[in-house]
Amino acid sequence: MAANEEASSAWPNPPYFYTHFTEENLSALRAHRQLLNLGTNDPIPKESLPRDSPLQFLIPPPPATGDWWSFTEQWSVEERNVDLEYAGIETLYDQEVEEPSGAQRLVELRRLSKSLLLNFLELCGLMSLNPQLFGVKLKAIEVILFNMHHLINQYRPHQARETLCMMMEEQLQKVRKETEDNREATRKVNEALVKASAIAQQVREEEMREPAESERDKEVVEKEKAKKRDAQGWKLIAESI
Amino acid sequence: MTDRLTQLQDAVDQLTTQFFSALRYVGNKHESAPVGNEDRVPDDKHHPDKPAVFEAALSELARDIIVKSKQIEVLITSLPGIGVSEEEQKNRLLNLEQQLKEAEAERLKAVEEKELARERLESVIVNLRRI
Repeated sequence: MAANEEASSAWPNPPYFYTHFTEENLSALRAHRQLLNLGTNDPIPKESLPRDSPLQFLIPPPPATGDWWSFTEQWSVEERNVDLEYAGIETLYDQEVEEPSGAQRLVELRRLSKSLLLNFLELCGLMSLNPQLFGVKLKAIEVILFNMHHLINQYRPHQARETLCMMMEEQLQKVRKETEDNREATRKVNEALVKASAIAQQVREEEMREPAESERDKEVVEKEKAKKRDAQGWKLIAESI
Repeated sequence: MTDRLTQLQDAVDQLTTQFFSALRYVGNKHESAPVGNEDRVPDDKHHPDKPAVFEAALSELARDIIVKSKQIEVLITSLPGIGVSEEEQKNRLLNLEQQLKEAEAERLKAVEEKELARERLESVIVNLRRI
């Protein structure tokens, strides 16, 4: 029973060499790394260790290359744009013309969309005359659709760069606008200060020109006092500008 | 709003769906035709539309397909950056990056200037309050 359970376990056992990842081995590996004068992220050459050393298991394998399978689908380790031929589909457009973003590619795309419509029309006609033959046209429409989607997807990196350009331009404008606004604010403050100092100058001159006279009545004296306070204020402003 | 390419892709998919539904409609709702001089055989499972309705639906389906097809054309011609090469784009990006850096430096300088102006104004006001 126990053996059965083990055999039908949902997940495979961990790789057998996990037992080698002990504290001693790890510190031995660190020591070895220092011995070779390697940084913490540099790969350790396998040959530098004795062949039968358990430390061999602690060195990660080199990065994989080639293809791998997952759930019956084949994937390639290197990113690559699979072309239609690779997927077993007839290519209907001229591949040699230019890069995926070229104007010619768009002409091809428009041609394909016209063909799509025409093929549908032919499919309709065929269905009314000899419905058994629908397979031919259906296949043609399918190939056209694959080609269109392929062309569209090839355009994607181009659009991504274009979008990035646009976003950067927007950002640039924003930053420049902010700079401009800040400069404007600075300019306004400076203007206000210049005006204030001009008024202060004026008040000081007036003060010098009319020395206070003694025979004025109370009201005038009050006014004079207020004026003096005022002048004092302006003087302070002038001093601090 | 999604980007142009996704719109285009969706439009192509929608067009295909329209193909399907148009054929399906014609197949399901057409009036049967008598063979030779025989009478029409009634079929309980078949419910054809009235000729007028059928004709109207046909032209509507056809029009919709044409409209969708036109929409695809428009989307194709309005794809961003037609005829701009990858090299040009990369140069433009580098250029923009440089400009952005300069603009950012300018911005920081302007903020500093503003801060100085604010401090001057503040000191004037603080002095005024001493009266």
